[in-house]
Amino acid sequence: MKHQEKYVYNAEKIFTSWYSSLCFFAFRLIQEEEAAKDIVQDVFVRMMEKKMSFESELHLKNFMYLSIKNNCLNYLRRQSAEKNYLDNLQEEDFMEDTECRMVETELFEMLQKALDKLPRECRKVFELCYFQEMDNETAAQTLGVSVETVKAQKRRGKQILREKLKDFYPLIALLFGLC
Amino acid sequence: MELEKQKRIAQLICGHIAGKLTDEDARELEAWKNRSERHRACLREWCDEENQAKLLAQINAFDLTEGRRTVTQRRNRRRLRRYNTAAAIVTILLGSIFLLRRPQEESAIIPLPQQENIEAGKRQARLVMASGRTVGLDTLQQLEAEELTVRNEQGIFVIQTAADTVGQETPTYHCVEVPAGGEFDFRLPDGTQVYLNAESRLRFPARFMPGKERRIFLAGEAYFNVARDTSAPFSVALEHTTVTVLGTSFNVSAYPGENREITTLVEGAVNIAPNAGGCQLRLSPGQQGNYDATLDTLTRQAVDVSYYTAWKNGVFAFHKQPLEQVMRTLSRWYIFEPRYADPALKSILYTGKIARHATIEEVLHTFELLDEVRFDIRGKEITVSRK
Repeated sequence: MKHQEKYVYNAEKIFTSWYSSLCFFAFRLIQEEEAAKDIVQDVFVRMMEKKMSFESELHLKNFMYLSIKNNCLNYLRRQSAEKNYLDNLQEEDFMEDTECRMVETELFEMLQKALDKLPRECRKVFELCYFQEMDNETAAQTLGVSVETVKAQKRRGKQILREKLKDFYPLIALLFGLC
Repeated sequence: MELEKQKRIAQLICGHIAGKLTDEDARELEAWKNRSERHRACLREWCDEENQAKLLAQINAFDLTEGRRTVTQRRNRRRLRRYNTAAAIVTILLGSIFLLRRPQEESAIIPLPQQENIEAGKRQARLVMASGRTVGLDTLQQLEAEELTVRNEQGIFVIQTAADTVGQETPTYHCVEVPAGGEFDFRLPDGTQVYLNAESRLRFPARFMPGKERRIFLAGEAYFNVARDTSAPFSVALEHTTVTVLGTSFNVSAYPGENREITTLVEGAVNIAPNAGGCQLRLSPGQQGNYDATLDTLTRQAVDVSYYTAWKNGVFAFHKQPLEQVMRTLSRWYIFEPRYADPALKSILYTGKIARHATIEEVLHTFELLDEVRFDIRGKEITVSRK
């Protein structure tokens, strides 16, 4: 007898975890921010409305990637000036691209999670220097610290990020012993 | 499935960046890398530190709050379409009630879902006429009623006296109300331009009698660009004081809960008189008159007017404002309840400018970066505590 366990997901939690990275995925495929957000939001709406069921979280995410990929392809087809389709070469390109884009999107998400674990002072500096693209002097002024401190926090932050990224690499321990 | 494979590669790359790959895994990653130039480029891109910084800059590109709001809106639109036409028509007529964030309206037929998030305000107001009839203004195109016409002329709402009100003795009074989370600008029958801030009400006559004082009533905050008419002074009656002008630009802040009425003059001349009688105050441009209701005093000081008029240009501007005041101002736009873990925090002073269309998270984030307070949002409550 087959034991089927149904995977129950929380739409809000899924949205919070995946929204930015899936938008990143779509954006990398079609190079347009607004359209990318549009497509991702659409897929979420449909997923929530249809209350679909999946075997696991991985299955759900795979489905979302697939839907977004298809919508992006359709979008590009519509954008293609004279014709309403892409020629074989472009479609092939797109498909190969997708594989890499999925890897990158997962990396992007891991980077985001690692970032959330940075100590407060580092996070502040990262926020200003990288997210808001301030130079060291402006960031130092905004935070009321020296430029040296900003540079030190940047170095420290990068080091901690590398360490945190390691957590995503699962070391499969080989179990010897009694089975 | 595909995701499983790609996720594995991403994990290997993380291990690679951290320098912890096992030999076997390193071989696997190498094999993947060599499968195509694209794979090689991908690995190069992600392992380069400078490039990682550029990628980080994209992290905030896709705002979660905005995304959530759009998703919710789209789901609602889908739900609304499922109801029949009759219900839809009734919704439009009752539209004004929905547009105000008052969830307890009994006549709500299609309730909008309770917004659990704290959101920035937007342009919204309603017109309550002397008869009691209420109309939502922000979606209105045209209205003709009770001595008034309202027209939306390319985004500017113009209220005018109806053509057929000749020879009537006393004009009827109507009211424009802006709820919490709203702001609205429009023109009065005499051409005066009014900007109404959140939680404010302005009562005005349908018709300004020629040669007689143009008198209106205000509770809350408004900025006026009064149309010049030397034969008919324009006066704003507040609870305790009345501000009279000839033709000028000024800001009046008189929120009922705050026990003071503040008039800031940008241009022209203004006279402030206590309603109960007593000493009057005349202001010159760049001056501010402050009536304190608890002390019953009327004082004058020179100010940088831009701090007091910035709100109508879409900016919050605070100049040495105690945190309590800052939070109160924000709560009128974003709609939330401020709470303080330590009452001493209420008197921390702030100076700065923030865009009104920013999300509440962005606003609080800026404050958190600069000072020793932290903010916790729980539902519609924001608690201020020491870091």
